[in-house]
Amino acid sequence: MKFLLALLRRLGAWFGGKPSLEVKGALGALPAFDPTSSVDADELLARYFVHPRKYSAVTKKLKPEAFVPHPHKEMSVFRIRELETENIRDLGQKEFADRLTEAKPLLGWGQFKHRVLAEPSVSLRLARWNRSDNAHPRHRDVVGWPVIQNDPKETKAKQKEVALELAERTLLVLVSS
Amino acid sequence: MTLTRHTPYGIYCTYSAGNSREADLVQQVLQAAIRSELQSATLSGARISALADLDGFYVIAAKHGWDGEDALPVKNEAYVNARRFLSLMPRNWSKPEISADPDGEVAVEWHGGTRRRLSISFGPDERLSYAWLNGSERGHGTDMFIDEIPSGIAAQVGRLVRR
Repeated sequence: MKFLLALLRRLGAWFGGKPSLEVKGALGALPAFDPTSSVDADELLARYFVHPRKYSAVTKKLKPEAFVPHPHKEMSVFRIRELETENIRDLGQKEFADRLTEAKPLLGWGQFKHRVLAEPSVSLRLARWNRSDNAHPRHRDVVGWPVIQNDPKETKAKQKEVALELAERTLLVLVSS
Repeated sequence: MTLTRHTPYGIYCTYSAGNSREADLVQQVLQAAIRSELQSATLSGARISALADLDGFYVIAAKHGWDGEDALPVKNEAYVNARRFLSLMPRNWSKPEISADPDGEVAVEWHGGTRRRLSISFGPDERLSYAWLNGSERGHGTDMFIDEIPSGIAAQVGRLVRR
């Protein structure tokens, strides 16, 4: 039964409609969080998504397309420190999926350690939380994506390489699992 | 009079309305071509499956925000370029996965196991972008795709994911 509910929900998402059935687990209160707290190297970050083409059902890995920043120059993530899986899901539904132009059911997220961003093969960093952005306390932007001057194709290729590395280092979590 | 139409799914439809000797000859030639195409399709399931996946995906991805976020629509020229590339896939290549980048380029990716991946992006023009991981090695590049699969990309696929 649980599987059928998840399947119906997924089909609803696939055809662009809102879910006709909700999985159990209402939005719980998240623990208080200081957005200015330092981000430890082992702290987990989550990258949410709502479309099944963002990951491979065969390899259970996110695709690089899930990370390449566009139309913005930064990539949004959420700090998920001290959160249970249900809390991470609820955070993504409320603060990401429900805020899209057309609200969608959250399909899943990729999670990786903060230290991955600093590795030479990735070379990205978290932007500081800015109160004036009116962002959620757990939201951060990943910045520092490489840009090759006057060559958007070369820029695209280099960013794709970084995104591939990031995708390979990320653990996929699906809402229905 | 024989009319042959190439459908979006690569299937030939033949309509015959003539009974002259020339019409019969034309029909025989066309039927031979169809047999050849079908034989080729049978021998290359990965290629046919990838093309079908791309065709189905394009229907979804041709509109703005197809991914539920801000993805640009996949342009017809990008779809055509990706389709042309997949049509040239050698038979010993495995089936890639199809998606699109948020900027509207078609993304085609091959997996060959842990840290063995190659991803190519097809835009509206003939210059494609690609990146790969192969164990501890990684890289990226751009190449022109005009009539045949660029040799650098063919070599990478060969190293990573050839069946």
